[in-house]
Amino acid sequence: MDKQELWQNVLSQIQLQISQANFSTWFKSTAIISRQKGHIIVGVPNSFSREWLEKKYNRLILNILEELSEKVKHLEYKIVAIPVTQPVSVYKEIQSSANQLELEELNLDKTTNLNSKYTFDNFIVGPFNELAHAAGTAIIKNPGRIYNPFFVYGGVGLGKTHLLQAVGNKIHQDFKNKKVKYFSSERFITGIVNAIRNQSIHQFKEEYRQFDVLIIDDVQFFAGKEKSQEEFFHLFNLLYEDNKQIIISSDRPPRAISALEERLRSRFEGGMIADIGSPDFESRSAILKQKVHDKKTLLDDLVLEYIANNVQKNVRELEGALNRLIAWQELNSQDVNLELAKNLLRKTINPKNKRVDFQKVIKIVADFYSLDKKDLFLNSRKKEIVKPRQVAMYFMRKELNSSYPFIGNKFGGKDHTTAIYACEKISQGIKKDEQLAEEIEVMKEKIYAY
Amino acid sequence: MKITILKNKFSKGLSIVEKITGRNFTLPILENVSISSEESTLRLSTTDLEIGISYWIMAKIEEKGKITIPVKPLSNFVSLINEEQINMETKENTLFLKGEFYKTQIKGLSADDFPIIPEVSEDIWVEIDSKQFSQAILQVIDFCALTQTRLELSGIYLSFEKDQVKIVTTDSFRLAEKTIPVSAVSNDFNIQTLILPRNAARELVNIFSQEDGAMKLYLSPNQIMAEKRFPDSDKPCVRLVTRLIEGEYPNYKEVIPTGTKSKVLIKKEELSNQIKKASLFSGKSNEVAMDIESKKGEITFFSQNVDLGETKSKLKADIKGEEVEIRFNYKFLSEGINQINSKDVSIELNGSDGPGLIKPVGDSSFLYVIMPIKPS
Repeated sequence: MDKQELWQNVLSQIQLQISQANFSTWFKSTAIISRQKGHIIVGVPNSFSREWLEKKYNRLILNILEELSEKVKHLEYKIVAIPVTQPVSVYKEIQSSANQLELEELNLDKTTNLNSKYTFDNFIVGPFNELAHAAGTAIIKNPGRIYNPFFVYGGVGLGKTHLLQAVGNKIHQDFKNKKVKYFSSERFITGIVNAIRNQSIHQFKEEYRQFDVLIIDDVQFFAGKEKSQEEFFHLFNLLYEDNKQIIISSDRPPRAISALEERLRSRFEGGMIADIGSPDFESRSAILKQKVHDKKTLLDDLVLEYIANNVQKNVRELEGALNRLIAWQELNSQDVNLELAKNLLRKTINPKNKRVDFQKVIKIVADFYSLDKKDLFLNSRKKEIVKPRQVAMYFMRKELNSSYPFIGNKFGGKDHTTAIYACEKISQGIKKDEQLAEEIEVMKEKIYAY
Repeated sequence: MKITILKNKFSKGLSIVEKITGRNFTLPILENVSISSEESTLRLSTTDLEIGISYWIMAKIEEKGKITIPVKPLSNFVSLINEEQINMETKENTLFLKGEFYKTQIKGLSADDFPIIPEVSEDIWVEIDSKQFSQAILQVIDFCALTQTRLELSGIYLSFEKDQVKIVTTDSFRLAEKTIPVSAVSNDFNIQTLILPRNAARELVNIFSQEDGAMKLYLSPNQIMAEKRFPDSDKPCVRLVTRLIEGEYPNYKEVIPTGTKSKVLIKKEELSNQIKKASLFSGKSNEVAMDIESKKGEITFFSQNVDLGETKSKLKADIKGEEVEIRFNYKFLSEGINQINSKDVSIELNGSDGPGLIKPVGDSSFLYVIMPIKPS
């Protein structure tokens, strides 16, 4: 007889000897949790049950156990944690809008820094992220052995963080003895700065060395922070030599991160690099359906299709559009139909309403190439200035639909043919030069970021 | 059992222990109060199997004994007696109450079937002012999560250190933390943390907010006991034993913002009035927008409702830092501000989608973190 059967037998006999009320109160959620050499430990849900069984039913239980020819030397009762159901709350839950923000940090696991809401179960896979997903699932089976480091890149709001965290969560769950740690690069940098200030850089490194899986998000922020890069480089080598898994994300591939040291770049490129692109229509629909399901509401399929068709670039915007509709639905207690959805989302979807203007393009291009805004208008043929100027002209043509003479005029009275040449050159360049293509993508995203 | 007891004391005792009893179909004895006589005291106990309360009253004991009696009818009856003393006697399972002008009998159940209220080891304890402790719990108790999904957030987190205790609640939209001093601790006391169920906290406040002086909390892994002793005696006068919530409380300190982008100093009274005014128009979403204009030193409150209309009003304030337009659920905002006891309130904001920190001015023992509504 195993311990479960044994306890079943005991219960069925006790049932006959005490009142139903007593039985259901005191023997509910009890079980034998260990039986070794006549030493039996019975798990009980709370201290009330323990006192009662110990003081009132101990004799009875012992007798029955003996009848079942079980040799008992010692019988002990122990409280085991069983989730308690609190009486249904009489307080009304406060009504709140679907857009109410939460204190996200409360969802973080204390030891790993991971947010448990990110899992593979709610990660939608499509052609746009197949490779990254496949690499991620390979890693969780055998962390540190294949694809090390694993470098994921892609634009904002496409699910990099989700994938990274899901990998971390899964490893944490499957390999109990592996230490997983997730950091945003910002936190990592703050850590280094503090360590330098407190002269505890050695301890800092020691601490990081213990991790079996280190996940660093948004590594592009390392750009230009040389000391952090150096420390990270050493740490990287240490972990890598010990076959510890390193997972990194960025908004662009390693070679497109300006001001990243060559040795770090080559390290990043040494493992598996996977990109996450923009989701296709089917994936967008699937994502929307998943979100609707998560939020436990209902929306018309036609409406979802409309959103999927019109919000194309990024998953976060998809969610934003969806939230808007759900909030409206909750507020007005009325279902959103297609016409209404079009109306409500007009502002979000119609890109013309986005404030993209000449000033903004100039600012973003100048910022990107670390120039002053004035520099773009200089009548200079220096290489560092010519290219940014051409890029700015290209954006004015492509994104603002400005005329060539207007563009030429804006840049210090240049001829319209200069503008045409610039635009052609960049357009051609994008096709041949991948780095330039990446740069253009990143700037474009920034232009439309707000 | 044969005893004589003062009516007022008996009545008070019953009113304290009766709160946690209620209809119970599986175990009707839980509707009863257990009455048992000790050397010179009478002990009243009730339990709902999560919380147990015991209360001791001085009495003249002629003959020892014990019994359990349905607490509601007994308590109601005793409160209506207008004589100073009560003579009580038990025969079998019936309680006889006798005075100069009345004679009453109430049927009860045998005390042997009454649950045993667990004892808590007295090794680890803290001593704390009972009124101050009750006040502090009241200040944060409304911000517990009411969901079943995250049980650890449904209780009150207590973190005891040698000289202070931090009392924390959060429902993931806002968080409150109150710090009060601890007057004494047991030997070799290390930091002790626990999660107190909300119901138990309410009972604790009900009982101990009326008591002057210090109370003791005995801590153990699954349960705690709150105790108050008779003055000049080491005999307990009232005890509450409760189960604790298992689980790990999140690392709540991560939530409290360390930096600030905009800082507002404002009169509490004026602020709550403005919020009240705006809330009338906020509709179902409870949404109130605040436009913090540091240059003008003004806050504009705005709310609108498709059916009713809209309102906009301004308030002068001392503002430093960035301008920001931020939207809050007015209930979250006013509930937090209501718990602030100073004349002026300090509000520190971190952009339109970052956490806000609300504190009393000149009192660092309380803080309230609130998340805004996402800007659209």
